Amino acid sequence: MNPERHITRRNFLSEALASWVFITFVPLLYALIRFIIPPNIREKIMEVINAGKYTDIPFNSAKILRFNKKAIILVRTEQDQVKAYSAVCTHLGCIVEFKPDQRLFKCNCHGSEFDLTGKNIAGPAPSPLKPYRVELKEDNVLVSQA
Amino acid sequence: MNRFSLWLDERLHLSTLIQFLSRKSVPRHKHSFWYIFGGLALFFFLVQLITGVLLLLYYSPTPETANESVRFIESQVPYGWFVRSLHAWSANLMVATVLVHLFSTYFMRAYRRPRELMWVSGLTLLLVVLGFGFTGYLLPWDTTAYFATQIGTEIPRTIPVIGELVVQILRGGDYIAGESLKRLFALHVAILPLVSLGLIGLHLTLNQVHGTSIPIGVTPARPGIPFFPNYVYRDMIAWTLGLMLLLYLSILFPVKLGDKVDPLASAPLGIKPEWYFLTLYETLRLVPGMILGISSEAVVNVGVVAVILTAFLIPFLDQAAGLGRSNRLFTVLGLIAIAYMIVAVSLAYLT
Ligand code: FES
Repeated sequence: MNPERHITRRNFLSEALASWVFITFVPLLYALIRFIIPPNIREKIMEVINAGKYTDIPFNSAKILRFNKKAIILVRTEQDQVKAYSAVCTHLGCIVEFKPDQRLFKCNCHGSEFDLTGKNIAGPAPSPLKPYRVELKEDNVLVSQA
Repeated sequence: MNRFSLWLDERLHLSTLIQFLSRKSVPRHKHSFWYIFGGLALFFFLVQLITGVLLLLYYSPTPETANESVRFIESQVPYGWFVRSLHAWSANLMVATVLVHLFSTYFMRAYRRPRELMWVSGLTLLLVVLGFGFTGYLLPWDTTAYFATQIGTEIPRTIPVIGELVVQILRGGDYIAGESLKRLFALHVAILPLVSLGLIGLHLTLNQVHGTSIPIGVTPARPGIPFFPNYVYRDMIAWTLGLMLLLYLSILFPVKLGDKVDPLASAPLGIKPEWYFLTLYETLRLVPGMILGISSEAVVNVGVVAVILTAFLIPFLDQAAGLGRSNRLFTVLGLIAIAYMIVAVSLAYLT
């Protein structure tokens, strides 16, 4: 310690006070910041969902539903074939629309387009729509993670 | 003075304040007109405060009730449509007047020493005003607002390190839902108003401390305009004109409520943010999806942060202004910014 430094009662007290405020304040701030960040609630993850009868989706049309809180789009591409993709546009997250006449998915927000394999073919979307696995069991459409 | 005024004055020292204000004067010169916009922005802010508090009496911020409560305000509450229209139109007029005020002070170099902190507080107020616009947009819980907010809250995701966290904090979860509505509501009606009241207080105090800035190279006529009562009257005339315009817009073009959000419906055509975000919207649309392997949002994010930082630093970058010389470069930069905004907004409307 510098012997020249003269500790008076006043600067001892003000430094002690400053340290005390700091020591109290940092954990308090930490708690408040943690409060703002939403908690990660673990919800039951479904492995498979039953999306109803495939005959309920008319040929060349689509249906949007939730799978583990995420929006997915089912499209009946052939008489006996149903495909499933994430319905969330990979650009900025709008929900895409199936265009039966062009047979593609279109996002109306900034005009991205995805073909029937989910590939991004036009617009600003940087990547394809995420595919889901579809199984037909006794006319029921079972959707699971690919 | 009558007895009551004397009684009041003894307690509040109002005569000292009036004396101070009547000694204060506003410079009189060919650009004085532009000074009016600061006061006008304050006027629209006050309208927002009053109509906002009124709307709170009926509004309910949950996904099940938000849209219905706004519909109730519009259709059942006496003059509900009117109060809601006033709130929506005054918001637009507030942003517009803040922008005019910002650019006029910019071109008059009012930010130069010793008013740097007025510029900084003013620019922060502009960001807060935009924050009000952004957070208020979702509150009616209609489809357009839902997707516009989805897009708006997705953009920060590409910010390195903290991007994901920012999105989570804004949305209160992974996607726009009830939690997001509550958060944006809290920001809109509690956090931002408190912040803005503090900032406005600071901005106005600095205005009293430094007085009104005179543009470089302009010699004001003597004497200036006494602040009280002359300039206050001018302000009142401007406020009355502002109120007339507001009434005209609110009555003739009442805002319409869109359909309630259906989170499982595709985004409809024509999702656009409010006009003051169209510059950003159009920039995002014009920049290709990927640039050298980096996503366009990341590029635009960096650009926006750079522009905002530069704007904050203007008083410190423009050294010449501090010495009483105007540097043409800054005039050109200001003009480019305005031209870019006009082009982007027009493109967004036309295409
Ligand atoms: S969000 Fe789909 S194209 Fe932008």
